[in-house]
Amino acid sequence: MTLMDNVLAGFSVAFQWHNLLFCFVGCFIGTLIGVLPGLGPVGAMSILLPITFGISPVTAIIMLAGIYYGAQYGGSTTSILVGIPGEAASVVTTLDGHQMALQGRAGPALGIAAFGSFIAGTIGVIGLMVLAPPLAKLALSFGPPEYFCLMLMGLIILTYLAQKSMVKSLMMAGVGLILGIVGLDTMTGLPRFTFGVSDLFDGVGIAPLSMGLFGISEILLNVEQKIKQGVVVDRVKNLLPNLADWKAAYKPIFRGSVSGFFLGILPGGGAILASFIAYGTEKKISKTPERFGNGAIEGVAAPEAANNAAAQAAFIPLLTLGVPANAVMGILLGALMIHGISPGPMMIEKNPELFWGTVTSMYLGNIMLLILNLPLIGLWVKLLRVQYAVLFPLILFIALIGAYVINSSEMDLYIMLLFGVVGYLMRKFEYEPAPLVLAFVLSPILEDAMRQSLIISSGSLSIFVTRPIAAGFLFLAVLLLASALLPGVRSRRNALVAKADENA
Amino acid sequence: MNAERVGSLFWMTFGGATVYSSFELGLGEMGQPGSGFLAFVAGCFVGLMAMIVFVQSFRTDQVSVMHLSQLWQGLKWQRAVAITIMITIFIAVFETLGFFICSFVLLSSIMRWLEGLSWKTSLLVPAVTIVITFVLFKTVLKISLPAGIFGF
Repeated sequence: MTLMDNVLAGFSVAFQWHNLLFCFVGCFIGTLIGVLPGLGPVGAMSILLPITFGISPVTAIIMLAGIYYGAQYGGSTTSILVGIPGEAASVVTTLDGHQMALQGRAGPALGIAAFGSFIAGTIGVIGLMVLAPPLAKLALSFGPPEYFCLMLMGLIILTYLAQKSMVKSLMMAGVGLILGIVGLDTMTGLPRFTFGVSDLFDGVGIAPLSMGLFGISEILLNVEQKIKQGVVVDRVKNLLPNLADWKAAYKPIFRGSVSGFFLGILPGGGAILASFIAYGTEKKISKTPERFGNGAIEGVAAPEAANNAAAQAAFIPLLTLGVPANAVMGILLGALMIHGISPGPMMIEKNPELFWGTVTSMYLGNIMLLILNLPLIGLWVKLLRVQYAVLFPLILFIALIGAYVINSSEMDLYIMLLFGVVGYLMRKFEYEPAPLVLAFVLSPILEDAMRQSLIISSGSLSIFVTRPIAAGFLFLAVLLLASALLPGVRSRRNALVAKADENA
Repeated sequence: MNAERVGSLFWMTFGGATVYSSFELGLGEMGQPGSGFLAFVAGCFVGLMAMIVFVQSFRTDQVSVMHLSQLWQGLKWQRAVAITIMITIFIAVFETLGFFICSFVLLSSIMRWLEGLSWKTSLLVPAVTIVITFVLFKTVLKISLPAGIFGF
């Protein structure tokens, strides 16, 4: 089948009424959680994961994907109108977007963010369609050592890009690996770290763990402080950017889309990194860098395009290699596994309707998001006025019910609460939960790959360095670790972290 | 006490306990790794990283030299504790008292008692939310929720 045949087959799946409906629901929820500060896509997807149990895998993934890329759109609204990032990938949009709003140009800022996101989303989807199938074919030549080294590299990239201490992030990745092996050993049948609790024989569930670490902990942190609230702009006019705006923004949109796409593919990369790099690049190549931070439209266009392209591209390693690029993709991997689907090189061949249906639905989702974020902007402005005191009990309630219905188990609720408290303390002590979740999801696959590799090589570790692809991944991982120790790189990294903290 | 030291000591203990348990699970051999092999490697790694953080905490140029008490300074931490206790009680009685009673009491008490919202909001918002959730789970998604001893 040609690419066009596959695309058409994908559209026939995406256009089914229930898929269209759930795509819209996903995009709507994504925009909603993007607009509302405090709950990111990881938390929202974990909370809503149980809702997908009653629907088909294709529909479930279409909805969950919609939440992820929808959040990238919605995050810009809060960044521009309120000056608080709706979610992490929109931190840099705040710098110029909010300045534009203060100068009475909220409309063009929102407009260029939405159009930029749409263009980038489109480029991302096309890239995904073109790159994923050949990459999946290439991945067929991967054996356990290649997979092991690839996952190791992904974890190291994620910790390298951690906002706080890299040592702490590496430590959290280690903790995630340990938590991931809780339950019966698939090879020997031996229970590991179950403490005699039968509910733990199947392991710790991804949903209660991530709901606790991201959802509950966020609530606990927010309730102990006063949440800043206040909409700067009541009425948003002139959403369509003028010719001068387009002239200034079209190149940054294109550059942001391309760089965002490639950074999104990178295991461990993602939308946050992509938006920071796109902003930095535009500022660096601009003839008037002093305009950045004072309402430059390029400072909105480039990061918004980059984070959307990256959000779409992040699906590539998951759908072709079965390796999630970040914590959000980790949740999606968990969702696919719950539905009995193992993502990997064979997935496109075995489940073409799932792959092509999901990919083409993203394009429809981008159109829905354009409508949701421009003509319906008034709805989101109104929503920004809803008190956090009303919102957070509802989020908490949905999380509790969501965690319970997975297995109708009280134990899942206790696990969620436990990880909620652990996540709260982790953030207090500046330990990031994202590497833990990614390592947790990867742990069983990584352990299998490691065991199989060692069995193949009769216990020789040289198998990881004598196979070129595995050695390449390992070399990159070691290079990153080594570069983090160099004083120059370390100080630059610390400066970036400090800047991100200032902006957040 | 320095927060970094407290945190790293905890993770050192965690890593140590994991390594200890991994021996009980069996490390196997390099050519045939046992059930405890990855736990052993990961436990050692966590312990090592925690040790680095612990040593770093003695360096004066560290950005984070916060004391334990400073982590909660100026914050209403009692509210976080109250929410945790309320969730614990909710979980403990959820299957016994059922979805409707537990959910309504939890939401109303958070809104009224903890957040000081009006009676109208504290009763109306939970009621509407609970009914919508019930319809969504029970009717649309066909997922059952606990009825409790009162049968609803």
